Amino acid sequence: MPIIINLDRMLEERGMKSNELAEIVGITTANLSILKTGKARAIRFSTLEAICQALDCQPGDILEYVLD
Amino acid sequence: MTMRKNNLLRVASAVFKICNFVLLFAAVALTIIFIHLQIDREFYADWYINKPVANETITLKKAYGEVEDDPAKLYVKNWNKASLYFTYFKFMGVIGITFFAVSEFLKVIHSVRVRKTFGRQNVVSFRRIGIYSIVLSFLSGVSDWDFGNHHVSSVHLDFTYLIIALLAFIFAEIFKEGNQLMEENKLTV
Repeated sequence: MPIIINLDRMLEERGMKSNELAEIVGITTANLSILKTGKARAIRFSTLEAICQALDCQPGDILEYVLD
Repeated sequence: MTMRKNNLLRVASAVFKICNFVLLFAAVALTIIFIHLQIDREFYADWYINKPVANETITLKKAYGEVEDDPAKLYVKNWNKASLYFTYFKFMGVIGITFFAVSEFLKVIHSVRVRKTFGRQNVVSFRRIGIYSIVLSFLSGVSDWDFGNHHVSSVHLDFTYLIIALLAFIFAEIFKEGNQLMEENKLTV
């Protein structure tokens, strides 16, 4: 899929662990893993909003469009 | 997680289980008669079937009193061996395939009861039911009745089974769509 999820980089920059983010956002670590590995087919605005709030960033910092 | 009590599904499940039991019983009974007929043909001297007419149910009957040569009755003792074998294997095929089709449908009912309605297995089950129905339409349409003085071989297509096959394939496609939607929903974070 040409949409890349840059969650790993953002987590590293913020010094946060995956399970901490999952807890703050209110999703399971399994679902966060699906998102991180690019297996997710869709992301809810509410989830995106919660991630942006937790990482203090913009949606564009997490999602990136790369031409195939 | 199981569904809250659904009486319709419970009744349907029970009815189809009874159907399968009856089919198994019929297969065993037919086989016993078939084997016994090879051993002791005279035992069936006064057993007959009525001359099969299109769409008529074939019933094996026993004549009492003096056995006359009624042209409308086909006596089992006169049954040509090849025709007897053909008819036995045809009926066993019909029973077997119907049993498998009903079993597939039971799987679908069970999946709904355990809330796995749109699982991939149901797509497979409906496709199998479709294929079984096509085979049944051909199988139930061929017949060979040879009783010496009466020999009729016929081939026809049973459209009822073909319509069931078409419906089963349509259901398979619907469940495939449902499965895709379920997978997408599962992968929505």
